[in-house]
Amino acid sequence: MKKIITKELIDSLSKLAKINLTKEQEEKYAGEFSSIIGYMDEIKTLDVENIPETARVTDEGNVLREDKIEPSFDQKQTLKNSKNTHNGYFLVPQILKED
Amino acid sequence: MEIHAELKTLSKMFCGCKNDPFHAEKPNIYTCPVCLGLPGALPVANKKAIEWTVKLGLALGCKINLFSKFDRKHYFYPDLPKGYQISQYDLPFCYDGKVKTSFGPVGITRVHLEEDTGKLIHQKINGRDVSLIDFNRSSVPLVEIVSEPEIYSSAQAKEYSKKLRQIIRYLDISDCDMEKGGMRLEANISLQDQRSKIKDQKLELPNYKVELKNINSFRYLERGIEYEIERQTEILNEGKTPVQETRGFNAEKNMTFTQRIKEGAADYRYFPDPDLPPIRFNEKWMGEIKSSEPELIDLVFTRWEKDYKVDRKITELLFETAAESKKLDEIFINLTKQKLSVDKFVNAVANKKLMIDLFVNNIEEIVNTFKKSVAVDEITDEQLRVFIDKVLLVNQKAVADFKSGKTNVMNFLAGMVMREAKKKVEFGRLSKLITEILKS
Ligand SMILES: [Zn+2]
Repeated sequence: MKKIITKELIDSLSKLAKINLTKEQEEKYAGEFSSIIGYMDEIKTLDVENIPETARVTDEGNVLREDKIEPSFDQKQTLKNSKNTHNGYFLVPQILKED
Repeated sequence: MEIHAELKTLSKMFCGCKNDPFHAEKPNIYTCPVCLGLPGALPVANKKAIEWTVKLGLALGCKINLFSKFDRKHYFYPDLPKGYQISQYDLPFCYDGKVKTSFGPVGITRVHLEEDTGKLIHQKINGRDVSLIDFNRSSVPLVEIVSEPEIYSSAQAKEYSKKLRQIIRYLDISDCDMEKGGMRLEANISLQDQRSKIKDQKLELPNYKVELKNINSFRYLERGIEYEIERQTEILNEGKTPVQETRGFNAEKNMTFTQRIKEGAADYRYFPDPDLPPIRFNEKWMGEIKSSEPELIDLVFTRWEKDYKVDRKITELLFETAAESKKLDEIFINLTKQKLSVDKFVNAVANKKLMIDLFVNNIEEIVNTFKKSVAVDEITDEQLRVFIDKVLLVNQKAVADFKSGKTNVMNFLAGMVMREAKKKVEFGRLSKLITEILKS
């Protein structure tokens, strides 16, 4: 099977996902991803000419709520699972936005 | 221009937490699993926020996507706990509208609905640079209005943005508080040599753009754009291309500064949010939204100009919301019935000469207060001249001042005559008589 997922693509994906990979892992994932994506090629051979495109499995729609205030967590509950807090705030190291 | 405004719904966009980040007593009190981005939480869209977005789109002359959806926009930042923002990608609620400015029309590319992020406060604590996060603002409904690249000057950008704020406030869907960040302006600026324009051919956009972000006043927007035009002109004249980047505006130094350089296009990996089923507008629902749409604000001003000969520049100062404009309409009808001048009324209100509050006092009180203020007593010119002669005689200094060109003493003299006569007389009539006498 041809390799459609290059190491460069794995590199950029890991950056987007903020996951650091070793050289070995990059090699390994490039291969594994290629075989997964390669499987899509097989699906592509199916005839879907008369099947409409969809992003969803149900026909559900308009599942909405009325504009009504419901009870919230209190501050203590909100911060309960955080190790780093300060005066009612979550505290994190300063990060410059990359966008 | 890209303009964001926080909608003033009671609850947040995808959960029932209170939408009131600016008045919260403490940080992180209007929060729940949904707006904290906890795993397994299920967002449900706020119907009113959707209806308001469509209302805004209609007021901007947009077409409405009868089938629409929410998408996930992925990026990592501490104010966005889920790792994605729920927004709209290829099917915004509204698209293809227009806003009139005195410089020409500006096309509206799209109006879409998304959620706001949490608020970060950058601080140094114990010598460490840290950010404090408050999620009271997280998932507050936020509309984004994107214009076509059809704005050609800083003045037009300012007028366009002000007009949008006026329209949004008129619909009463957002406070547009610029100082607190309830409305945020963003300008994308690039320059092009007009000589390269080929006749009858649409210009292609320049191959770069500079984003001017986090602007919290119209004046700063204007000054920031002015600065960019100068800065970019200089670079282009040297034969170089300005760097594609995001810049902020420093009001004290009156200049823009680099915030971050953009390397390549951002990759947000948008995809339809599987938690949120799509939205379909049927005729009934669309009809309900349309019937709640007030008369377009531009039409209100044109109607008033036509019916009452009042200047839009003055009436614009008097109200914000459609409900308020309706009350003004009733006041104007009432004034007209009593043969009182609407133009004089709006000027008196704008100049704060009437002790009334248009939207507190009732119509009768308002009209009566105005009536009293313009009421004049009956008195003949002949009778008036007697009082004028008397006043001029005992105010020789004022007379001398007037003759030496200090015409503002007329206010004083007219006042003295009215006091002497114990009558209220129209100022114009009185000053004309006094001038005649002084010149004779
Ligand atoms: Zn919530």
